[in-house]
Amino acid sequence: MIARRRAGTTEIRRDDRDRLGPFGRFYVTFVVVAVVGPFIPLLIASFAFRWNWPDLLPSRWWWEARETARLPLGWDYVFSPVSRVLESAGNTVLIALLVTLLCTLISLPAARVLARERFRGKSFVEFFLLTPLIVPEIAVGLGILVTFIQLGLAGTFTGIILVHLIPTIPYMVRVLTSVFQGLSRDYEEQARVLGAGPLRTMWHVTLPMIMPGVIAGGLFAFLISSNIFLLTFFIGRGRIETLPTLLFSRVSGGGALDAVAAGVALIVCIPGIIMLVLTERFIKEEVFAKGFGG
Amino acid sequence: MTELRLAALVKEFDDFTAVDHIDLTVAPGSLVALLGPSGCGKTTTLRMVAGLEHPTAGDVLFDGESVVGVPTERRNIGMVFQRYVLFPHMNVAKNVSFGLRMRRVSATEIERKVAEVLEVVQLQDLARRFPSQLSGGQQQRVAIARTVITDPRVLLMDEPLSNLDAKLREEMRAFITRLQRQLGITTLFVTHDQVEAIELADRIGVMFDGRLVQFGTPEEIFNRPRTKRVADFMGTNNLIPGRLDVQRDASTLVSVAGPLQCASGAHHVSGEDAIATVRPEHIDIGTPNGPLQGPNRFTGRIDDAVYYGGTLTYRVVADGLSLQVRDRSTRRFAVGEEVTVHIDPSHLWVFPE
Repeated sequence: MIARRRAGTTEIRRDDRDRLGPFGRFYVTFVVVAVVGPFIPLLIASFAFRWNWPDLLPSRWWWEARETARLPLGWDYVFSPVSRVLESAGNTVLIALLVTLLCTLISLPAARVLARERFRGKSFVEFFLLTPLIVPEIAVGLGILVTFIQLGLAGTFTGIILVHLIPTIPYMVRVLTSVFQGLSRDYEEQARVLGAGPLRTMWHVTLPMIMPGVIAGGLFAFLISSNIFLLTFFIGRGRIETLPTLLFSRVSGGGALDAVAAGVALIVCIPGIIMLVLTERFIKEEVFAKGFGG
Repeated sequence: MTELRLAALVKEFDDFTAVDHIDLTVAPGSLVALLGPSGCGKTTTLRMVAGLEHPTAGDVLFDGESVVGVPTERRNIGMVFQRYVLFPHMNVAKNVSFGLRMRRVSATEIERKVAEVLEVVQLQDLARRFPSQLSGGQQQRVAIARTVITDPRVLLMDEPLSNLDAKLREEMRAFITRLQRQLGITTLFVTHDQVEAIELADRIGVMFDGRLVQFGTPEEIFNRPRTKRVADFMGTNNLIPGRLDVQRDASTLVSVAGPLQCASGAHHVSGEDAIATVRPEHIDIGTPNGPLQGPNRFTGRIDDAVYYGGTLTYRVVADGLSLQVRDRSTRRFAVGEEVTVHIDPSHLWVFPE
């Protein structure tokens, strides 16, 4: 009897956990509305031809005006070469990929040392790595611009990639430091004992084991890089357009949300969403996920 | 088979000396246990042999050749860590073949050897499993298989049994002994468990505070401890404290129960505090006024009796001494009964307090 009643109790408890209480339901609804909500006007605006305040919906839609217009409108314009949207998207992704790669290569050894070794001035190095997050971008950007103009790096891809490393490296180093702290030295030592030199230990043991963390850090770096406006704007000098700078030039006029600006704004979100989906799938399907106590 | 020798090995860290002038030789094909409490420097010693720690001074020699300048991966050693450290992203076969792959052995040879070694450790059916799908004992056997597959010159083991439960530990102990004898690998084994050391090792080195305090066969260490700390650590029975009185040809330990004549010991300086020890089976026991004669006789009372493994072990309290006495004869004494105990001087071992 008692046993049965106990079993019943635990079942009820499990049900409770699956089903949210009134506060939980409110909270989830709130989060969904807060995340998805802002996109709805953007989506509507991108399909509008005329949308005046205080109308709830556009009075004239893009496809209604499409036939009669002499110039490409709305999404037609967004995807036409004149808008430079596709070119900027390509630039954004290319820059973000290279920044992610470089940032990972630079941060891996740094994070390893910060996680494993004790040395004089370590806390200073840690603080120094955080300063890009503390110092305003505009101050850094102006200083770098002056230098880069003299070096001939202003307005070049190299220049933009270099400045994008400034805000991405602190994040990457932080993520990877905690990843290395979570990886016992024993694994690398065991590999050495079994006859693997430092490079092969890194390749066969360390990297596969920290891969989920590297991917998480890479995702961060990619997203940060593809969202940087100010530094790209300064160093690119208008010669190299990325999605954030393009969007800025579209909306800087007067803040009116025209269909093209709305379209560009939506496209700016795409790299991040693609990365998120890819990462999620990759981490889930990873063969070695098995090894991590799964 | 390789001879491993440590010569005046020293390791200093920032603020303390972890290993303090250790001299030790592991004979080819034998198993030596480094025994000591945690923090005594035994693991640091092992890591210096592996090349994972660089000695501050002294030398590590394989067959008389220094390996201090040789990086870990080229020392051709095997090491089993306390936590097995199997690579979680590789299955059993890949884990076991890791060392061979690093030595660029051909694929067919790898396949043959992996099958062979997995059979030795009785894991041939689990080759495709991942470490997280194995029990502790199986993981340990994979770790050992991975280590011995490369025919290491020296095998190092760092408390390999401490993560296993009691029953499994016993099985693994037997397994390691068998494997080590079979393969004849020179082995250095680190443990804090004296039972483990006694059962596994050909020789035991007892370490305290970075120093090698005593080195000898398990029997020597257990029955003839050099210091009180060793005796305490080994769980040696029947420690009788007293003061030494050394005459020309005989020494006497004056204990609370009276003078004890002793024949052998670690040192003999008159007037010093010392401890005598005797094995429980070397104490004769009989009825009062019985046939027991000679020196070192006490009368006492049976305090406790435990029957274990075919013999009776009594606790006898005699004149302020508490002695364990193992009696192989068929007579029985009851608890509370008055008895006489006798210790032959040749069975008493004296060492400094």
